[in-house]
Amino acid sequence: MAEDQQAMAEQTRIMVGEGDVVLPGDVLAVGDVDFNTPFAYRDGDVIRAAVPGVVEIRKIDRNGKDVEKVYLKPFDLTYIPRPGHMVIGMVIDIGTTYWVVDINSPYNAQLPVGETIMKHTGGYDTLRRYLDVGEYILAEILSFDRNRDPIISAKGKNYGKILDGKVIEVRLSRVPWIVGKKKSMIEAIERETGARIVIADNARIWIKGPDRRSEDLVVLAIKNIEQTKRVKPPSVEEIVDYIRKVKEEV
Amino acid sequence: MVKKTDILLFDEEKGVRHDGRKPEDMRPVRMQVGVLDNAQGSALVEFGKTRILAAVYGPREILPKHMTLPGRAILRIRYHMAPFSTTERKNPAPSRREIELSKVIREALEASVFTRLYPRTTIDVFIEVLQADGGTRTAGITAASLALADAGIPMRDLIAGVAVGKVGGRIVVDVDEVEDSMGEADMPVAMMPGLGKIVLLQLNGSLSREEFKQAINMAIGAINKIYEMQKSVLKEKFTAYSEAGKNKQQQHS
Repeated sequence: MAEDQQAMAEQTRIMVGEGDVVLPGDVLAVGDVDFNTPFAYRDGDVIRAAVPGVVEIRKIDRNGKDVEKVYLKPFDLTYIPRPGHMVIGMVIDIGTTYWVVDINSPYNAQLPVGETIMKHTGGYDTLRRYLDVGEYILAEILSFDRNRDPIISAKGKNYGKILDGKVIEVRLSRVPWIVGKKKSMIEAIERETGARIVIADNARIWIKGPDRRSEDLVVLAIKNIEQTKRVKPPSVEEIVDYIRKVKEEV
Repeated sequence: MVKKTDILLFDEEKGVRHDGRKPEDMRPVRMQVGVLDNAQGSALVEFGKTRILAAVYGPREILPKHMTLPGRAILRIRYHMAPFSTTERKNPAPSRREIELSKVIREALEASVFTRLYPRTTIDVFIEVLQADGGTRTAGITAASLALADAGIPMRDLIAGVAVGKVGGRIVVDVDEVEDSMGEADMPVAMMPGLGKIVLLQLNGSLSREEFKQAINMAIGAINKIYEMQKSVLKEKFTAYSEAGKNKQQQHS
């Protein structure tokens, strides 16, 4: 048994380094190494990348032993809903007792009348008066599985129709950069502009500022972070400088 | 004008083909990714005069709804030749040949893409032949695979393809239009080179066993070169991209 484990340990090795850019089919590791699905997959004894991405190696605890786990951070992501996620949706269709909401995902969500603060009294027209096609709503995913479309709820605190401000869409893989470590980036942008920013899990961002100018500043700052095409995120100072520069110019 | 029958397909004295290439030479290959802004992923691939644009959309909702599969995503491939891609105008309506090629390309890509990750959705791939000069199906697969990787759709490996053939009794790599229409055999091959798996193999004409073995080996050699090119063009986009991105932003503003 001990020999087996030793043999296993000898065969186990990680073939990539921190920060490496890998492509589909590239070998990440050989043997019994942990990795994150579905961005990597096991092909016999070999672990290969499935998407273009950047490698991150983290230490994890497995059965009381410290082992290295290969994380692949993809360049592009598709939003897949999970129960409990906060999402910003846009109404695209109205049924008799529900709205069909686009949540920036391959699956359209349903918002039943019972999951809003509206008291349903009659048909299509009343639903339309509360929430029309093209309007945005902040909601929570109640349920989603592979066989049924997601159901969302706008009943909780802070949830509901978005009446003012701006909603923008960013790349899902860049959301962690925009939030920053312990929300440092987003808090810095809020401080600099005076706007309130809500980042939903589906890569849509609601910006509400005291005036349009501050909202536009936030949009510029966020787009600047999103469009930075490099492996490491820009620092908070860089973005603060950028905002101040734009402020002076305009 | 040179008549097709006048062309010497293979010059035994010099050991070169009608365009001066050696039997194992490919035409100059050029690749580019992310050429379309509206598509999730896109690629432009050129094999000599053959020029192909591929665009990927998805995973997205399937319309019409009845095509939905409960356990996996469907792949919809549209291989299409532009009316201006050939010397004589091609009717833009999908021909029998284009429908068949869409099918074989779909089957090749299905071997690579993890369709089970996105049930009830579709991944749409559009392959547009802008200029045709032989080897369009293999160049089409090469472009489609690059576009899928560019879109970040999980897949086992990139797919690279090349057509080998028999011309004037010799096995040659990367046949062009003249060699295809006048040669003795034409064999498109596509592979997942990292995994060593063949995902497309067709043969028009006839080859002996020995010739087939030689042809396959030459194809694998060429495919490995194409595969390296695919990887380097993708790597370039995702790493040394920073300067290009900045320039682009400045142009917009």
